[in-house]
Amino acid sequence: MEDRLKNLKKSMDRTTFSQLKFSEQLRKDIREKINKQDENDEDVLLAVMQLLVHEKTGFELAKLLRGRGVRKFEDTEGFLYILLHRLEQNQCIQATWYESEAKYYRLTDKGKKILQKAAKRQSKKRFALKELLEG
Amino acid sequence: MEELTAEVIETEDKEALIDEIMIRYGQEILQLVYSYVKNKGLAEDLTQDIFIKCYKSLHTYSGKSKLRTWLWRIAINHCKDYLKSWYNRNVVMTDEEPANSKTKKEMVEQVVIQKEEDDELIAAIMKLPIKYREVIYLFYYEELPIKEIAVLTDTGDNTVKTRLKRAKELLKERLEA
Repeated sequence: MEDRLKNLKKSMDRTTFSQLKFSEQLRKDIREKINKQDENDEDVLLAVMQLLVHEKTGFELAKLLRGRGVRKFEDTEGFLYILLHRLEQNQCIQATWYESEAKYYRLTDKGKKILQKAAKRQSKKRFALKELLEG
Repeated sequence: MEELTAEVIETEDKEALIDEIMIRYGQEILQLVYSYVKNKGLAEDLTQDIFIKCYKSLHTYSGKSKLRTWLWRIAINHCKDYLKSWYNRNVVMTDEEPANSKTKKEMVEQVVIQKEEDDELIAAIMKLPIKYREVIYLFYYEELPIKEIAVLTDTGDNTVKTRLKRAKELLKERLEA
């Protein structure tokens, strides 16, 4: 066993790792993500609000966010509900329970206004939405 | 390999630094992650997260341990968190690649036998529970000293030794049964 394990590096490099390359592209992707990091929170909030123009459950929302490439909640679904709760308290969204079903969230008129404002001035959206994040 | 030292951290250019870190350690981190999650695409995704995490916490790096050790610890913890996560336990990955994708036709018999033995060993290692797999990987693939492995896995020297011993017993049982 010891002898076989001693060759592990060679054999893994030849087989398992032969397809595994930390490519230039991957490095570039990471650089890009790092650069985007700052805007990220606001982008997520914007995405949530855009998606809630039509009524959805938290679970559907999480799925759609993932589809949009938002990975923030992937391992930490709880944060999504904290965010939803905060939006609800700010009266940007409203939640409804349907009989024996899940809780549905939908953007309120106030939420729609904020969303429009934010979409209109994409570049300044950070300020329009900042108070919500901190509210 | 040359160690990046703490002085480099003091340079203002964090972005250049993270680039340098990725060039030096990208490949080994990607492989390390793969040894935990056994999936290429997933390993690439998690490696991205790890370097982003590393970038965000650069200011917390104290210079007490080697930068490489510090980075490895971030990576290992990230992998373990992922494996424990809801997402991992509930979403089934569909693109699990076969360990061996080349055809065997062109290979000479001896090479094939050698390769099959290797594949068998690697497959057995990849099936070990995490705590045994990681010590085997760090000790035999990365050839790290016991002490270093203890630091990386948040355990003691003796725990690492015991796990190595147990891991080898498990491998033996599975391969020689």
